[in-house]
Formats: sequence, C-alpha cells, structure tokens
Amino acid sequence: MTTVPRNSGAGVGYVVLELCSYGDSGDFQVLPKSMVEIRLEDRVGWLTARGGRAAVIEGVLLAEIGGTQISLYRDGRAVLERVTPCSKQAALELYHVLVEVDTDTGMKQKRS
Amino acid sequence: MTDSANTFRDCFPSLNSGGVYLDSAAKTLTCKSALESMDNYYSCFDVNIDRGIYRRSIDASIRVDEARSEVAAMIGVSPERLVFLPSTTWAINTVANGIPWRNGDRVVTTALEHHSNFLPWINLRRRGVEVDVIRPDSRGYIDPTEAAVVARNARLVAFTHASNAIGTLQDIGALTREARNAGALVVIDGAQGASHECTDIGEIDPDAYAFSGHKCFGPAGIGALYLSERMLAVLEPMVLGGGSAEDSSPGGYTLKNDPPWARFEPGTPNIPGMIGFGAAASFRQSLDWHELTEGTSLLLTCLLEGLNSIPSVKVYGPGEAAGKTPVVSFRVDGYTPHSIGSILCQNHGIMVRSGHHCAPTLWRDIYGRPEGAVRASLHAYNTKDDVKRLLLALECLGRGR
Repeated sequence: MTTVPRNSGAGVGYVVLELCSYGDSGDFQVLPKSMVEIRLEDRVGWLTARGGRAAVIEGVLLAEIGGTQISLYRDGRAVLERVTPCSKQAALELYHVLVEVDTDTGMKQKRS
Repeated sequence: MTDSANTFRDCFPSLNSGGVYLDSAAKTLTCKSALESMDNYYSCFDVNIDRGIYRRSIDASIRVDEARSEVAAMIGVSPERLVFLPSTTWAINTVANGIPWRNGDRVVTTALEHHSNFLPWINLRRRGVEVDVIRPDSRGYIDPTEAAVVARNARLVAFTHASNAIGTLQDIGALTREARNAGALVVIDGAQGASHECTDIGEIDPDAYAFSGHKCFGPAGIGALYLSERMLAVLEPMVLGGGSAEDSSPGGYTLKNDPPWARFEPGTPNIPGMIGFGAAASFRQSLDWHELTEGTSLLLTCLLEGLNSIPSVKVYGPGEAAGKTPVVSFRVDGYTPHSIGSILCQNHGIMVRSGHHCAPTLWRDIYGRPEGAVRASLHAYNTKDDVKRLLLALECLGRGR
C-alpha cells in the first residue's frame, strides 16, 4: 500500500496551485485537503520501473519521469514541474497516477 | 538581537506567526500602525469620502488627504501630483494606455523588467508603437550612456528602479537625465526601489514613478503614481466615473483638473488601503532609515558570503551588497528552483519565492535559465538568525544530492 488516506480515502480533495511557469508546460503544486501519508520509498521503485529517476533526499522524493520533475512529500504535498499540457487537470491526473489514487473516486487503485 | 531590533520587530505582528520570512520582494510585512489605521477607519468612520456633507465623511476625507501627503512625502513629491491606484501594475498600465500614441512612436524598456513594466509596453505594438528592449550588462545594470543612444527619437523610456529578480539598483538619476535629454518621457517602476531606498523622486523628476503599499510595510491593493507636469499634460484617464468630471451632459464632459489626481481616481477608492498606506509611509518616515538599511546591508553581505561559500550554489547578479537591494537569486546544483523552494518551506519553515519572478526575459535571454531561480529577499525586520537558518538548510541540501 502506498497511500493511506486517513479519512478512508474516498472524497479526498486536492488544492492545485499554478506556480511560476515558462514555455508550453506548467509547474503546479498539489496539496491534499485531508491528511494522507505516502510511503515515498515505495514510490521510488514504482517510478524507476517505469523508466524514471527517483531518490528520497531529506524526506522528499525527487524524481523525473517523462520530462516532468517531481518533488513529493510524505504528507501528500507535491510540486510537479514541466507538466504538459499546461493545465491543473493534467497536473492532478499525473499526481493521482503518481500516488495511485483513482481520479474519479479518490480511492487507491489496484496495482496491475 | 538588540533591544531596538526587538522593538522594531514588534511593529510587525505577523512575525509572531512563525517561520522565516524571506519573501519581502513579493510583499513586505504590514506594520502595526497601518493595521491599526485601517481598523480605525472601519471601526470609527466606515463611510465614503469626498462630496459627503456630514462630519464623518469629511473627517474620513481628511484622513485620506493626510495619507496622500504622507505617501507623497515618502518620495519627496507634491501630494497634488500623487494618484492612488490599486498597484504598481495598475499605475504603469494607466500611463501606457493613457498616452495618445501616434503610429511610429517608439518606446524603450529593458530586459530586467518585471512583467508590470514590460507587458504594458510590449502590448503597444498592437497600436503601431515600436518597442525596443535594451539589455543590462553582465552584472545586471543598465548603462545610462547606452540608454541615451537607444533613447534617441523614443517617445518614452521605461525602466526599473531596482530589479525584483536580482536586486540591482539602477542609476535612475543618470538614466532619467539621459532619456530626458533625448526628448523622451521617463517612467520608473519603483516597486522594489521605494521599498528599500529613501530616494527624492521630486529631485530626480521622472515623468512617472509607480510604487505599491504592500512593498512599503503597507497593505496590499493600494499603489501610487507620481506624475510630472509634462505627463499630466498628455495623459488621459483610462477609466472614467464618479469624481472624474467637472460636468457632463449627453453632449460630452469636462474632465477635472484640480486637483490633478482627481481625474485618475474615479469611483469609490480603496479608502482603508489609502489610509493604511499613509500610516505605513508615516511609520517609515519616523525611522532612522540609514541605520536600518545599514543593518540590512550587513545581513545581505552575510547571505551573499554564505551562499558563495557553498560549492553547489550559484548566485545570479552582483556578488556584493553595494548597489543592490537585499534580494538574492540563486540555484542549487541538482535541484529545480521550485523543489528548493518547497523543501525550504516544508522541512525548514523558510519562505522564499521560486521561478522566474515575472521577469522571464531576464532569466531566459540573459541567464539562459528560463525556469528562473530561488529568490531570498530580506527586509529590515530580518535577523542574522534568519540568514543562518537559510544557509544551514542549503548546506544540508548541497550535501544531500
């Protein structure tokens, strides 16, 4: 299990903020509205298995996959840089894939 | 920390909210007297100003008049020539869109500018105005001699007092002189300069000088624009409404000319903002600014020396405190600016800004770093401990990667 929504999972809302960006891509910050806990070490393997580069440094998962730079914290906060297309929706979808949460239900997805 | 430093910090209530605030280039903390003056307006007045026949409205109008005088005194200009507007951005747009441009007019601005002093001019190309952008030297300064050459045949030259990204203080006296000699109108973005400098703008006498309350210990949502006689003679108001006109009829209207600011402040203004800005200006005037800026300059030196001693850190702009505001942009090898910004906040409680700081031309064209940098910006309420905490955090990060 990689994501443990402490309020049972469903309906975890997120705040997506656009950061200073440039070019055609966008930089975003995603913050869960409820308390979540992410096991960053699990995510390292998941990302590297998909061709990304990832390491946990100072309690932060720093990763790069498909041109997108990721900083993910244990409390679910994430900074996603070079997201394409440049939209909050794209950032949130990427975030959900990253933490394995179903986009529609907010529930953890089953691993394939 | 000395007793006087503690007393000064007590004037900024939000310092009690914790964390290390190093984002004063985005917004300075609001001083207590500004907060109290705004509270007093809502608690004791809470009415509209000007043209009110009752005492409370008259008294509130007097407060706003006093605020205008206090803000004008802060930069050494006549209150008659000082227009209150929502922000520096709004003020520069008021000038850019209020000049009756002729096809073929030319405007000169610089690659150092914040979007607020860049986009309004670039936008004029749609109206047939030529816009040239001059580059700063390798240290981030605009050469007045070069500006003089480029300003020939220009109708207007616009430049910043101090870079919001790298802090370089421009020689606005020489730049104004050279542009004026070339026959151009001069517009200065004073958002960062007014925040840190006690400059007599009346003596320099540009045609427009724009600055904001929220960069000068005042509230957000209020700015000011100084206008010269020359500018007033050509500038038309961008927005019209209550208070703009002497008289009107279906046949037309006559704009107010007395006082000169009146036609640029239509509608009900941001009354508490004006009063708060006035209180902040008055607070600043009561301080020994020389002593405060000396203290900030020492902090800046400490920060620059510390950053330059960390091998993984690269500082952009001048490496010494002289000739710049306490604004420092830097990058750390192996990290993106946003990742550094978020780590500093999340793990160390340090608040900085990351990205291109609304100056993408500078970061892309001058430094070849379109993603920008991390910006730490100090002000007089910061302490040596704030700087030490930032340096310690960056040293840890430098070792980690």
